[in-house]
Amino acid sequence: MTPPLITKHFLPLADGHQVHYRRAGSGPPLVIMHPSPSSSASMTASITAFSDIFTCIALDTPGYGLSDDIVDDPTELWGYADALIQILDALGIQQTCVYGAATGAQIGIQFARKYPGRTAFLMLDANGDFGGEAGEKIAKGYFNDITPTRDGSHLIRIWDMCRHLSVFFPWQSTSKEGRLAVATAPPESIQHSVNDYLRAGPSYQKAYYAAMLLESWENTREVSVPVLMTRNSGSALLSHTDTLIAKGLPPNFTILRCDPSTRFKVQVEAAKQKLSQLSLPSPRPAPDDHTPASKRVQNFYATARDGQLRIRGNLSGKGRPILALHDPAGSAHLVESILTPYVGQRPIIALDLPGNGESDNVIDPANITSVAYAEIVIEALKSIGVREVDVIGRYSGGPIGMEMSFQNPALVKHLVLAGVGIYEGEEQKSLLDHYTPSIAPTWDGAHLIRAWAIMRDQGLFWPWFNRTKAGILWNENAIDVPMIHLRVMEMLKIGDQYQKAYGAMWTYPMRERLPKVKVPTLLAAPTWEPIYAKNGECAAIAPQCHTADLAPRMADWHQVLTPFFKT
Amino acid sequence: MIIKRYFVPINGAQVHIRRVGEGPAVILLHPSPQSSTFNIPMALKLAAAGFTAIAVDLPGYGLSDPLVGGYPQGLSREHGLDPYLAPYVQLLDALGIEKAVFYGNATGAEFSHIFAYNHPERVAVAMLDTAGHNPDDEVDKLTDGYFPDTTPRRDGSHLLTYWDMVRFLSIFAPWQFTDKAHRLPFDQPPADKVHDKLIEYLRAGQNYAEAYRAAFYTAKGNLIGRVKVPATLTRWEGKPNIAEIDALIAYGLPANFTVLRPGPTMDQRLDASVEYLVKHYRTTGKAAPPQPAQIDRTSKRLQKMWIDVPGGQLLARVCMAGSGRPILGLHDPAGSSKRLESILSPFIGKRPVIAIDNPSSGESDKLLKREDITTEAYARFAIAALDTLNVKDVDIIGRYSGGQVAMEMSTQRPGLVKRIAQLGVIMLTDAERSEFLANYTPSIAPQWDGGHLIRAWSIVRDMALFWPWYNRTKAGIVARDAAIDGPTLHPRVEDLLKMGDAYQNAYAAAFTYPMAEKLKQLSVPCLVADVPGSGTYTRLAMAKAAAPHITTADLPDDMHRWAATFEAFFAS
Repeated sequence: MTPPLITKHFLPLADGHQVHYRRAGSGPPLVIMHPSPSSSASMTASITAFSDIFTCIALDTPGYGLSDDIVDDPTELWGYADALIQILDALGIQQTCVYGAATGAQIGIQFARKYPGRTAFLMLDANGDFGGEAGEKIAKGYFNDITPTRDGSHLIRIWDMCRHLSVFFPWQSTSKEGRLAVATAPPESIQHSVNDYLRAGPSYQKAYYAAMLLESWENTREVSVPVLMTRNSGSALLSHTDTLIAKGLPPNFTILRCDPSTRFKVQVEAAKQKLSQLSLPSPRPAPDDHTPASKRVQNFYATARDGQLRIRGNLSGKGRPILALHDPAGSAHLVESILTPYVGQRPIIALDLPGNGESDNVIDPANITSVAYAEIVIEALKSIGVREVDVIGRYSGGPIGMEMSFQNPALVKHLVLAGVGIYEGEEQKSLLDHYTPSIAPTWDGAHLIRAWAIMRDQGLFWPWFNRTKAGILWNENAIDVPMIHLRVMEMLKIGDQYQKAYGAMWTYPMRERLPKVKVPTLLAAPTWEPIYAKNGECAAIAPQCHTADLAPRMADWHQVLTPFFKT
Repeated sequence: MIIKRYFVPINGAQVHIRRVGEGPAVILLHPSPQSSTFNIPMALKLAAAGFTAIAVDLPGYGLSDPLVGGYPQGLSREHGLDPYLAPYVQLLDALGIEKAVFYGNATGAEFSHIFAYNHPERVAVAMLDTAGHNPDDEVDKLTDGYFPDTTPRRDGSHLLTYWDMVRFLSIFAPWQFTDKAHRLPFDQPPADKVHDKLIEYLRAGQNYAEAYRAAFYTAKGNLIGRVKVPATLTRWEGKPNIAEIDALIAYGLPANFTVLRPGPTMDQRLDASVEYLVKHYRTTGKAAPPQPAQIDRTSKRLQKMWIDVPGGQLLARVCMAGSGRPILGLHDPAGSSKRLESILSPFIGKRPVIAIDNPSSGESDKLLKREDITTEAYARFAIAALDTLNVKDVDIIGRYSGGQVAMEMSTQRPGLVKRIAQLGVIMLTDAERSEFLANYTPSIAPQWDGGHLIRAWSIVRDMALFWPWYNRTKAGIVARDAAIDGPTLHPRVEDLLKMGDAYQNAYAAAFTYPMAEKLKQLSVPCLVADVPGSGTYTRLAMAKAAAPHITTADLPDDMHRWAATFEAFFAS
C-alpha cells in the first residue's frame, strides 16, 4: 500500500472563521478527531489506515492546531458537537462516519448523542470511564498555567507536562500506581507535543478539561447510533477502558479488541463491514480555501514541490498583490502587520517559507540558500495564480526577493529590502560561529531555555551574543514577552534548520548581487535597528536603489511603501 | 591573615560569621540577599589595619539560621528591619563585645543606622557605605515586580526565575525594568559569576525578600538622621546610581555625620572607611575578646559548626548531647551533611552525632581540587576533623560513597572506626563502570542562558524515576512512589549546584573504588542496607556475594524508620 496523499486545507466557515483539516482518500466521509491538545498532525497513522476505504477529514479541533476557536462554551463538549455541524455544513456533508481518539472520542460521543441523524456510525478509541469524581481527581494539577513569562519558565512547565505524559498517568502523578511501564518518549517527540501546546496556547485545557470530566460510563452509554469501540491492550488508558466495558454497554456497541500492532487492521476491517451495510455518498472535493470570506488576514495554502506552504493573507482587493517574506526562523506572523493596512485594498500574501512556521519543509536541507528559497516561492505564487507582485523582504527575505527578481524579472515589480546588509570578513565569521547555537531537543528540555534566551537577548544586544557594553541595544522596551514567545515558537518549529536559514543570510553575496538588481528597489530600515547603518552601506554600492527610513512599528510602514509602489 | 568562620549560638539559633584580625571590633553587614562573603575584601583590609573584623550573615541569609519564629507580618515600613535588632544585641553579647563599629552596604548600611538609633550604647560608629534617600512612592515603583515568587516548583522552573533576576541585576536597575532609562551600561559578567550570585540567593531561599524589601523603605533622610552616635556616609564616585546618595546628602544630615568622598576604584572606596576608623577608633576602641564556642554541647539538636582541618575548615552538623560512641554521618557524592539530618535524627540526644560536608562539597571549604578528589582524600579529611574534635572512635553511617569513605577511614586509622553501616552501596560490574563514568555526570557548568540549572534539576529528578537515572527505557524504571515535588528536590539540586562539575570527580571516585576487593578485606563489622525496589537494591546481593562476612538488611520505605535497623546493628 502506498501512503495516501494527505493534503491540508483551511475551511472557511460562514462567519469568516477558519477550520484546518487534513484530507486523504476517497469514498464515504470519515471525520477524524484527535486527542488534546494536539492536532490532526498526530492522526497521520489513522488517516493513512482509513484512507483506503474513506475520504478522511481529519480536523484540528476548534482552538487547537491551526483552527480558529469557534466554541464559546466548552461545557460537556456540546459546543464542539455544534461546531462539527457547522463544519459538515460548510463541507456539504449530510451524514458522516466519525472516529475520535481521547478528547476526540468524547466529542464524537456528544456529536452522536446530539445529532444521531448526521452520524452514520461512531468509532471510539482511547476512551473509558473515569467516573465523575475520578475525572476531577485526574484533572487536579493536570493543567499548568502556560502563560508566557519573561524568564521562559512557562516553556519548562510545558516540557514537564509533555515529558511526563509518558512517565505517569495522569502525568502529574508521582505514585507507583500511576507509573507507566513504557520507555520515556525521546526528546524529539516530546518537542513535537510541546509545539502542539504552544499552538493551542494558554487555553489548551479548554476541550481537554471538559473531556476529562465527561469521560464516563453514564455518558458513553447514551449513544444510540452504532458504535465501534476499540479496546487496545497497549493503551495508557486501558484500565479505564476496561472499567467502561465492565459496567456494561448497550447492544449498539461493538468492542474491537486489539493490541498496538493490530489496532488499525482491526479498526479498518470493522469499519469496512459496517460501511458495506450502508450507502453513504462521497463528499464533494475540498472547497477552495483562498476565497476571501472576510476582510481580514486569513490562512490558506499554496503548493510547491510536493508540499504545501501556509499563507497568511487575503486575496480580495484590486491591483498587484503584495508579498511579504519573513526573516530566518520567522513566519508570516512576523511580517503580516506590514500588510494588514492593505486588506481589502490590494491582495496581500505573507508566506511561511519552507520548513518555517506551518509550511512543509520542501526545500532541500543540503541546499538552503536565498536562490533555493526564491525558486520555491515563485512556484508557490504560480500555484495560486499570482503573476506579478510587489515584494517586501524582511532581513533574509530581502535576498530572497532579489533572487526572485533575477529568476523571474516579469514577476517582481517592486522590491523593498527591509533591513538587509553586507556581511563579510570577521563580522560574517563571528555571526556564522555564534549566532545560531544548536537548539536541538535535549532530554532535559534545556534547549527551550536556550531558544528563549537567544530570542530575549536579541532585544538586549547586537549581535545578541555580544554581552559587552559595546553590544548594548538602547531600546525603549527591551523585553517584549509576547513577541519573544512568538519568535521562540517559530524557532522551535524550524529547529536547527534555523542555522542554515541564518547562514543563507550571512553568506549572501550582497556586494556582488545588489548592484545587479533591475527592478525599482527601496532600501529601507527603521532607525532604531542596530543594523540601520548597513542600509547606507548597501545604498553606497547600489546607486539605482531608493532609500528610506521606516517607522518603528511595522503597521506604519505602508506610509513609506505605498508611494514607493506607485513609482 | 586567614579569615576563619564560626557559628555563634544565640537564643536557640545560630549566626554565621567570618572573623579575622585582632583589635577593636568592626561588624560588617552585607547587601541583600548576599552574605558575609561580600565583605571579605573589607575584612582583610580592616584586619591589616589593626581591627577585629567580624562579617556577619544576616539571619535568614548565607548560613545564618532564619529569625526565630520567622519574619513577623504586618510591620510598618520604617520598622521593617527591627526584627533583626534583638539578634544583633544577642550576637554582641555572645561575642563579649560591648561596643562595635557597624559598617554596612545597602541593606547592611540600612541596618547599621537602624541599630545605631535603637542601641546607641552598643555602636561606636555607624558607617553607611551605599545608602541613599528614596521617598516611599518612588520605592513602591522600584520594588513592583522586584521580588518574584521562587517557591520550588516540580519542574525546576523557579531556578529560571532566580536566574532571570540575578542575570538582569547587571542589565537593568531595578532589574525587572525593561526601558532605556533604566539600562545599565556594563559589560555582562561571565556565567560563573552570575551562578555564584545565584547560590547566595539559594542560601537565602524563598524568603530572600524579607530584609531586602524592608531595606528599600528605610533608605530615608528622616530615619538616617535620627542617629546620634558618630556616623559616616560614603559618597563613592564609582557608584552607578550616585544620585540616591546625593539626594540623601541634599536632604541634610546632622553634624555627627561625616561624608567620605572616595574616588572611583573599589580600593579607594574601602580605604576611605578604613582610614576613618584608624583615625577615630583604633586607639579608643576596646579589643574584642577571643571567639566563644560554636555550639551548645548540651543542646539536643543538630547544630552547625566549623571544624579546622589542614588548609581550612569543614562544615559539620553536630549534636554532642547523649552518651557513648559518637555516630559519624558521611554523605553521598553530590550531597551534604544536610541530607543526612533525617537519617541521623533518631540518634540525637541518645548518642553524640557528627555529620560532615566533604571538602569541596556542601558548604565546606574547597580544599580538594577537582582532580584530587578520591575516596582516600575524603577519608583523610574526615579523620582530621575527628582529631580536631578529639573523637577517638566512631560508628559510621555512610550514604553510598560515604560508606566507601568509612571503609577507607578504617584502613587509614585502625581502631578509629568500630562499625560501618552503609546505606545504599555503589558496586558496579566492569561494563557498568565505564558506562556510568561516561553518562552519569554530564557537565552542569554554568551556561549563559541558565540551561545548566534545568539540567541539574532534571538529573536529580530523574534519579528518583530511573536507575541509572539516564536510562529512560522501560528497564530503567524505578517502580516506587517518586518524591519529585519541588520542596524535596530543591535542596538536593542546591547541593549539586554548589558543588558544580566537581561532582563528576566525586562520582568517578565512587564508581572506580574497588568495592568488592575492599569489602573482602574489611575487618570492621559492616552492614549494607537498602530499600527493596530502589534502583540500587540489587547491589546488596552483589556485596554479600563478594564479602559473605558482611551483614545485609532491607530498609522500610519510610526513612524515619531506618534508625531501628542501624541501632540493632550498632548494638550487635
